[in-house]
Amino acid sequence: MREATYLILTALAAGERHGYGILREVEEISDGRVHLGTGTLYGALERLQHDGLVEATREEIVDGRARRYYRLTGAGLRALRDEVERLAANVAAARLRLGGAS
Amino acid sequence: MTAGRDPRYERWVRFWLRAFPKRYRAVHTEEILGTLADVEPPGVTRPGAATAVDLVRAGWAERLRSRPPLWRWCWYRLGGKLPPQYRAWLLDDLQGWYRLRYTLFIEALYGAIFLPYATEPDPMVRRSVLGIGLVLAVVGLVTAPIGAGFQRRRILRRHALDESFGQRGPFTLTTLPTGSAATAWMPVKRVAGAARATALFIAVGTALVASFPINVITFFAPNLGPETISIGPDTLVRTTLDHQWGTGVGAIALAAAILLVTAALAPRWWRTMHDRALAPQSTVLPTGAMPLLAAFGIMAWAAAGFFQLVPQIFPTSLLAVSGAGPAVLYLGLRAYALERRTGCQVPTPFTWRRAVPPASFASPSQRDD
Repeated sequence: MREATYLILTALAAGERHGYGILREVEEISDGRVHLGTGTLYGALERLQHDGLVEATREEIVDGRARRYYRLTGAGLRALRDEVERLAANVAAARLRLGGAS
Repeated sequence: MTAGRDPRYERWVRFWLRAFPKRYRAVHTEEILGTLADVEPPGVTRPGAATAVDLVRAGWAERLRSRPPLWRWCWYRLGGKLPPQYRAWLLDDLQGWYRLRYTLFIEALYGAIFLPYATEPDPMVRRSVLGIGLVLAVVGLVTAPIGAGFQRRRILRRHALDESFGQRGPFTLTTLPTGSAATAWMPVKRVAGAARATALFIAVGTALVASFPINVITFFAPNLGPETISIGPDTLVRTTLDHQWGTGVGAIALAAAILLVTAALAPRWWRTMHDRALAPQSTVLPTGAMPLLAAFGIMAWAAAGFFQLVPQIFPTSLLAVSGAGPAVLYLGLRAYALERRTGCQVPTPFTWRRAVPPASFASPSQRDD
């Protein structure tokens, strides 16, 4: 799973978000390290929707700006959990070896 | 649509968004404009280079992701069927510059078939094959855009889609609603007559338009011309023409003038012919074996030129073989097929219809699930 994908899924784990909401959340999660471009975000969202990991829930116009909200599907939640497990296992393995080396 | 946003900014974003496929833009443009309005500081009149690059990169990634693989694409271009997951891509492909895309594919196909002979050591074989390839490519420039219309309808039919989807251009088929007044009075033979009028029009148009460059090639570049590519019964290459039939700039100018006048008058002629074929009280174009006879006549003409019974007609007979003959044969057979059909399909003259978006635009990727 690419980092952008992982961060978008994580941003949606807490509940539905619109595009700008996801961008801000991703920045927050990554501690300001990752700035997703708008094109990248919507390309990834389309791919995730196609794969059935994310779905659009509702649309609204705020201040004349169109917003569409997205949330994780069941499959998206499972994919994120699996990825977190995998990353945690990797981290644990690396820690073990670093600890052994020091 | 985006409040407080400079219209110039919006135009720029729409411009860069063209990197995305049409189906994607239909769903996401407003949303992306809204998000960019949130992201960018107020007062910006155009997106920065980073935003533009990001949009273009994401757009092309989306195009590459959603397109069929190369072999499926080739299969589809040749008239094959695509699996349902490519339906959205297919609907996009059939709109806009479809005729151009199809024509480029046909030309590329000729290139792939004939260009390898450029390395052929035997100059006779090389020039013959490349000459035939050149003539086919020139004829293809005329016939492929016309053939693209038929191809598009065939594809729509094969994929069980509405045949009127996204059509524009002169040669379109409209399915009349059954039980309407039009189908009540219109005898099927008249419909076939109209199809035949179309066939005749296309065949004559093809012959006129395509013979012109061939004549010019023969005159100005005799090495590429017919005498090097004539395939006689006893020898491969024979010099038969001493520029008798179309020599002189005057002859070519005359041909050009005839071509231009014909092109200017053709739409009117065709419309008249077509209307007459469909009018209830008029003479229908000759029915029966006419298209087949015409096809065989053209083939005979081609053979006479090919086997040098009448060397002067060789260039046009080559054209007949490669373009007009098969076109008339195909369209004649199509007219027969139409005649037998109970559904009333009428070739309509010069209709320009707006592309109708598919019913559901919820999400381009979900459309076919």
